Amino acid sequence: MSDNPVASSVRPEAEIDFEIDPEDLPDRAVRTELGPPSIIVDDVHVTYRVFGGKPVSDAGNNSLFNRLVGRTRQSVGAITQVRAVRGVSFVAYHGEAIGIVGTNGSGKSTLLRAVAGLHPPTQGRVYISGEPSLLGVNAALLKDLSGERNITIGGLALGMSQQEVAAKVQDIADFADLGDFVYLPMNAYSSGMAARLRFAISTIVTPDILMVDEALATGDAAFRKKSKERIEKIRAEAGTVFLVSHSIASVRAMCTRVIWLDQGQVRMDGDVDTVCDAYQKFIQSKKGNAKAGGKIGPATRGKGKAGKPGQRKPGQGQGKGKPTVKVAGQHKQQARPADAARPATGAIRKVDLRPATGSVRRVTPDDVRPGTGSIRRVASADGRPATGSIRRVSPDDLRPVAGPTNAGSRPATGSVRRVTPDDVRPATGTMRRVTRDDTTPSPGTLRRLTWDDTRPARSPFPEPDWGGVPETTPVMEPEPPRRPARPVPSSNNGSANGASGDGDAPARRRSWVGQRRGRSVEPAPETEAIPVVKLTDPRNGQGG
Amino acid sequence: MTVTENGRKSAPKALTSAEARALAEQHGLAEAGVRPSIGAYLKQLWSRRDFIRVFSTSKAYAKHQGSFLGQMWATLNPTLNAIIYTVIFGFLLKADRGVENLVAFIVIGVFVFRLIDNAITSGARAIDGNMQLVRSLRFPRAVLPLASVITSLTLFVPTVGVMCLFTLVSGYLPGDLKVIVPTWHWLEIVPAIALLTVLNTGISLVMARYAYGKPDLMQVLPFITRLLMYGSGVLFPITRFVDGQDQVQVVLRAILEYQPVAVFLELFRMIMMDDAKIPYDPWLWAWAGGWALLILGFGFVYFWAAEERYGRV
Repeated sequence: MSDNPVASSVRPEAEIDFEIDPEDLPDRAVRTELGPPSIIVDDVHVTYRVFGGKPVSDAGNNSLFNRLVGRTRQSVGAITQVRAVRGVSFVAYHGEAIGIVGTNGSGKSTLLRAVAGLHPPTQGRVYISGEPSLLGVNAALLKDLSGERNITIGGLALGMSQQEVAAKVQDIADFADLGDFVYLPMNAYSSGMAARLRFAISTIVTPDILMVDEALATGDAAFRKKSKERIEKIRAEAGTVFLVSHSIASVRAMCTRVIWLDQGQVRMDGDVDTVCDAYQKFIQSKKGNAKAGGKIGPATRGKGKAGKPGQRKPGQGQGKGKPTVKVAGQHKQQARPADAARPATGAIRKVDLRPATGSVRRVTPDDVRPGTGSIRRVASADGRPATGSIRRVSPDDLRPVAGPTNAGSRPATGSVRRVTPDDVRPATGTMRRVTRDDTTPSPGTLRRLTWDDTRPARSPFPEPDWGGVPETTPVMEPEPPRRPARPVPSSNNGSANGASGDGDAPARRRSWVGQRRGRSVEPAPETEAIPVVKLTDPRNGQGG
Repeated sequence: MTVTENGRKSAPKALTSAEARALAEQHGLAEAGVRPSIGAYLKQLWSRRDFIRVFSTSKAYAKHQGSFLGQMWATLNPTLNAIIYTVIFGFLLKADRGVENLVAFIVIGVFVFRLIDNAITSGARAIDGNMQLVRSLRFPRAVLPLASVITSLTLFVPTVGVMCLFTLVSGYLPGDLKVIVPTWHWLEIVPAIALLTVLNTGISLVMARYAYGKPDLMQVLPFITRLLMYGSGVLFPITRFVDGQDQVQVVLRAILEYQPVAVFLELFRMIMMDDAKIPYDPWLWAWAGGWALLILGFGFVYFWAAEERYGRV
């Protein structure tokens, strides 16, 4: 960033991007003169075969027989062909930085993998000059091996000799900022750490063609800066750069050409501003629908083109395509029941209000990068999403649900340690707690909790209509013994956005594991800030 | 579409396939995802030998790393297995089944068979089980089945020790098992394992391609391997049950006796057991070597022929 000639500015369009650091982005990528073609993509189709699921909805006839058959076909002999990329052609030239935009499941990552030669196209051809390298969410890592081993394996798989790798292991570990975690198996890593390591591994070898999948920029600001620098360095040597991103701001900043994919087809291909403007218009008009819960929809691939923004059905636009996306989607579905259960505690108004606004934001970035460890992140961040009120209202309600979920999705080390200080209930003694304390007085505890616990936690928020609630006193009676457990959810909140006044939060944050947690709870910075690829080609201007 | 600042039509007119090919040729672009010639493939594979070694040994290491006793399980597991066979077949059943030392017979049979079984099962998982790797990095895919064989082999090394120990000790146990003393033939265990690895590599390559994209096969595979186990004389001398003189029995016996798994079990027993019923027969080496090379050659070509398709599901 520092040496970019163009002054930074916040683009008004950037409002649809979440958590991007506007000051991190230059205004425009530097145009370079185009060289010879580096990649020719000729009518590429990529079809996935997915086992174990079949859309029932496609039965035209809704008779009982057909429905029964449909159900059966869903469970037995279910193979669905998912056409993730359907006939894409383009020619990329040396010196181009091509952004690929599109909604979730539009086939961006699949196309990138196909172009990189990692996912053989079902039909069509890809011609390529040199060795492509794909940096992305799915970079190979064996989670039962230590980070150190993974570095070695990654380097060797990329064709380095063992001496070369051995010389670089320390560098890479330092770069990924893993500390002693480099000796632990990767399933003990937070998603941020894993993503950092993946990034570090994928950039071991300088590629001829650099492909950057979204969610590449991970971790905190410091790491993003580092990764940006590294990309710039690679970019200086690589001929062509592809960038998949949901952040229009980064695409505008880094790319000289944009391809908009929709339903696996090129909807638009051309100049950055033209395509980005059109895409943003499309997104804006679609936003209302997306809020209605498009993410949950079954992964039915729509037939034909999605058509104009307004025509799209809520469930249609999202969550189709790669299986990974589906996994993320499924998880969200799991999280929903908890949401649904909450209102039962009483504060229906509140619960309804918050998530509506918040959840859209939360869901999207998570959904954006399926591979990274979406399970963990979705479970914690999405499960109890937006704001304090939810947590306050539902701690008891949540626990039985949230406890096991956490424990299950987290690796062994983390969960044990983290849960114990925080959340005495679920992890260590889910059984004990649930049976003795929670289950028996369950109606009473809920109410008591709600009130008493709201107090401390309520402070950060403007407390909208709580004043009225205590009047339903029988419901809200506080109970002292419950208190210690209470702060849990609200302090999670604290470590996530720093808004909580909870006294416990800092103490917990100090702990080793608490830090990791904090990072993984906070999807924001990891998600969106895609490092800037600055085009430093001296030939700038010649092309115009 | 608009015109970029580069002065180029931003959305270049769609090329026909022929034009695309011509353009690619003109600028020296190679088609991606094309299977290399078999020689080039071998060369690529050779250049990844470090990768195969590190990948496979790391996998083997990780297998037992999730437990408290960790790598000790690599030895404990076969030991416990051997103890059970000893107790059951040495003390409880006391059936001799026509061999002088049934415990040694079974211990050798079970362990050697398990290595072959591993090659079948892990070979079948080699591509599907490493899909993340396949979708992320470019390397000759034969690396994966090869690595799975080396992983099994690494885990087999401690087993060999246990196998030798129980073969020696079993004779001194109460019961009237024959005492087995090591002979110079025991040195042949090493080349025998090497040959077995060649065989396993072939099996693994075949299974990797055959099972690729067939998740249901993993459900069926245990039954197939069990059938193979009973058909190869792991727990009893197979020829005992087909000793008739008519045409069918003779042919059946020949098949059961000279199918690759049975040959390798016999080879190891011949080397180690010094049993009257299993005399030393140099021709068995020829059979073993022939099977191993034949299956390896077929497996390699068979796997290579689908190289460009792995990763597509």
